[in-house]
Amino acid sequence: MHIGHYISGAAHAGLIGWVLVGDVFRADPPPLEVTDVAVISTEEFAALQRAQQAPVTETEVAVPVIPEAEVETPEVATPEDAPVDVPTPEAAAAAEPDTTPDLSDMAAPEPQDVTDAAPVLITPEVDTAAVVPERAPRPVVRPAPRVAPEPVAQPEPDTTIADEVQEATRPDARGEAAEKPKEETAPEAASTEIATEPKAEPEEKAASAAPSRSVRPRTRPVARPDPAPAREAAVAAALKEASDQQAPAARPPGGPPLTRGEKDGLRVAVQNCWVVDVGSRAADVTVTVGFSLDKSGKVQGDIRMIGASGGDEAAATSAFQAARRAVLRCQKSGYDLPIEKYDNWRDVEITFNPENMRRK
Amino acid sequence: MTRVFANFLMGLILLGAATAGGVAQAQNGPLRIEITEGVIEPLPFAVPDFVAETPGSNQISKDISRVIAEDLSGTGLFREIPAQAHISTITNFASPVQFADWKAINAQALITGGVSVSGNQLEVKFRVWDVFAGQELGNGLRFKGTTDGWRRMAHKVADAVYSRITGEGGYFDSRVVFVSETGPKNDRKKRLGIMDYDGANLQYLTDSSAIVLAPRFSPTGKEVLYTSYETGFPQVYLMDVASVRRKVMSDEVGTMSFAPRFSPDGKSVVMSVTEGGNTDLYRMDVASGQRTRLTNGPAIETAPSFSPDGTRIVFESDRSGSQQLYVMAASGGEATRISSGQGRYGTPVWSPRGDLIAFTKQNKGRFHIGVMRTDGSEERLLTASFLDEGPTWAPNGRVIMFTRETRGADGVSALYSVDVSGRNLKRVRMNGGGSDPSWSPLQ
Repeated sequence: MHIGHYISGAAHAGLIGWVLVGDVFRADPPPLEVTDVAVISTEEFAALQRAQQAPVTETEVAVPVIPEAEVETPEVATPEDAPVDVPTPEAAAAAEPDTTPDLSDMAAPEPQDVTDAAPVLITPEVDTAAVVPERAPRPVVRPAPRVAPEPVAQPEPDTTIADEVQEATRPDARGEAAEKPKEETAPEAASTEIATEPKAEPEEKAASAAPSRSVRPRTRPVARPDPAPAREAAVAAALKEASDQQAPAARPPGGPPLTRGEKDGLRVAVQNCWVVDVGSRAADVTVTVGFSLDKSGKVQGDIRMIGASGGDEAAATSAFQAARRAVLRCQKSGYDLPIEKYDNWRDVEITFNPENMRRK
Repeated sequence: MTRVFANFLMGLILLGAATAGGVAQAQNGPLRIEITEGVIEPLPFAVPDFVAETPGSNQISKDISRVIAEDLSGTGLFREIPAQAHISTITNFASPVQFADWKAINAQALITGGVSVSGNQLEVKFRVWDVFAGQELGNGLRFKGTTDGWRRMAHKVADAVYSRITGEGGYFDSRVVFVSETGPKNDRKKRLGIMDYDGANLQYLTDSSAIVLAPRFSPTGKEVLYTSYETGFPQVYLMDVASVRRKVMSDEVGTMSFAPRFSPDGKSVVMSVTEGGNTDLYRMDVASGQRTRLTNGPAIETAPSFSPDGTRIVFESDRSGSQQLYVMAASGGEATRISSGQGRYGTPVWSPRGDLIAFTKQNKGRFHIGVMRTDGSEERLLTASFLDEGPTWAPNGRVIMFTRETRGADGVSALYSVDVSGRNLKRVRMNGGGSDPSWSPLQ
C-alpha cells in the first residue's frame, strides 16, 4: 500500500541530493590548447602573401596549329593573252568575228543498265543515345515532421483510469488461476510531448496531405429566368458540333497528328539544304512541291511541282529544281519522322518561300 | 455578370470547335509545311575534263574544261569540286553517269562533254546533270567552230550551263570595251581597249594620241560610241569594231558633245551637248544625224541611259542644287527625281532586266556603287572605297562592272565586278589599268 509513497519519497530525496551535490556528476572541463603567437616582420608577411597569391594565368597559350589540308588547287593552264598593239586606228587589226557555232540538239544516249548502287551507310545497331534515360525520376516530396519525429507504437487496449496503479493479472503459466483476472489501471498523467499513432501508409498520406482538388462552390439559384434562351441553344449546338468534329480527330486513321516539333524537324532538315540564289529571278518565285515518302522517310517516286508564283517559267523551273535538290539532298537515309504516324506524313507538300531571303 | 460569363463561355466553345475542325482538316490531306529560310552558298559542281574524242584534242579539251570551270566559279554562285576528289572518271561521252559516285562527293551539278578536232575545225558537245535528281538538265548541245575560237566556245558552254541551273541567261560569251590607262596620273596614256569579259583576248581600238572617254557598246555589240578630244573639244565618235572605221557624230562648231549612249533599238543616240555654256540632253538619229533637244534648262544634265524598252531615260542633273537622278520620257518632257538619299548621285545605268538602276554615289568623302528600283526605292550600296564610279551591267543584269581607283599620286584605276546582291566583289584579271567599262550584249 505504501510502495508509492516510498518510491515518491526516494525520488524526491534523490532529486534534492542531485541539486545540492550536482557538481560531483559534472565532467571535467576540456583542456585548453595554448599556442604561442609569433610577431612577423612586414617583409615576412609580404613574402607570405606572395606565396599565397593565385598563379598567374598564362596568356600566351600556344594555339595548336591546324594542319593545312593537302588539297592542291588544280593549276589552270590558261595561256597569257598577249595584248595586241594597234599602232593607229587605220593599222589596227580588225577583230575577226568568230565562226558562228552550230547549235543542234543531240539525241539522248541509249538507256543502259546502270548499277547506281547507293553507298550503304553502316548504322550502329545500338543507339547510343538510348542509354540515356529519357526522363529523370521525379523526387518524392517528403513531409516535414510536424508533431513528433517518429510515431509511437500503438498502445495496448486502453488502461482504465483509476486512482491507484494496478497491474493486470495474467493467466499463470501453469494454468492454475490463483485469483480472478483484473483490469490494469493507472492514474491520469500528462506526457512530455504529443505522440501520434503510426499510420498505415505514411508516404502516401503525407503526399496527399494537401487537398487534391478544390471544392467547386455551389452555384447560386438563379433568381430569374435567362432572358436569352437562344444563347443556350447556340451553346448546345456549338458543343454538339465540336463533339462531332472532335470525334474523328481524336482517332485519325494514321494515328495522332504530327506535333509541332515533328513538323519543325522535317522543315529544318529540308531548309538546311535549300540553296537560295538571292540575286536571281528564281528568288522571286514561291514554289510548292509535292512528293511521297516511304516508311523509312525516303522520297518515293518523283518530286512534282504543284504550283509557283512570282516569276516567269524559267525562274519557276529554276526555283523548282533548287527545291527538289533540297528535298533529295537532305533525306540521306530518310527523314526522321514517327513511324506510328506514317499515314499523316506519307504525302508531303512543301512551300519554299524565299521572300525573307531576298532581304539578306 | 452572368451574361458576360455566358458570352465568354460561348466564345471559348466556338473557338475550340473551330480549332478542332482545323486540326481534323489538316489530318485529311498531305502534310503541309512552309520553308522561308534557306542557305546562301555556292552550288558544288564537277567538270571532269571533256573527253578527247580525236587524236590531238587532248590539250584543247582540258583547256575548254578549265575555262568552263573558271566561268562558273567566277560568278560566286558555283564552287568547283577539284578533280582530285572525283571518284568516277568520264571516259566516254555517251556512257551513263554513275550518279552515286558524284553524290558521294556532294556534286549537285555535273557537266560532261566531248571534244573533237579535225584540221582547224573544233566540235564541242556537252550535257548538264542534276546529280541528286538523277536527271539531265535540258538536252545536250553541240558547238562547231574553229580551233582559234576555242575560248569562245567554252564560254558558250558555260553560258548554257549557267542558264540551265539558274534559269537566267549567262554573260560569259561577252566583251568589255574600256579606257586602258598606263603611266603615272600626271601623264597617263588613255586608249580604247576591248577584251573578253574575263580579261582575255585584249585588243586596242585607238592609240594614245588623244584622250578618250566613256566608250559604249551598241545593242548589237558591233559598234562603239565614245568621246575623244582629238580636235581639242570633246566630240562623240562612232566606231565599227571589226573594221575600226569611225565617224564623228556631232561636229557642229562651238559645241561639245559627250556621254553618248545607244537606244535599245540602236537607231538613235542620246548624249549631252554643251552650247553657250549650258549642257542639255539631245537625241540624235544615227542614220540622218538629226538632233532633238530633250531638256532645256540652266542645269547640267548628262549621263543619260535608256530603259530596256526604250520608253524612258534616266539621267543626272544638278537642277535641284545637287547632283541627283531623274527619269523622264524618252521623248523628253517633265522629269521626276528618283534619288532621295544623302550625297550626290551620278552615272545612272538602267539594268537590262529593267528592274534596277545602277549608279555612283558620293557621300561623306566615300564613293559607292549602288542600285535602286526604277522609282528610287530600295536603294542598296554594293561597294565603298576611295573612288568607285561608272557602273555597267552584264548582259543578264546580274553583275555590275565598274572603275575603282586607289588613293594617292601613284593610284591606279582598275576594273572590278560585283554581284547585284553585293557579294563576289573582285578585280577583273587584265594587264595594266583600266576605267570606264561598257559591257557588251551576249555575242
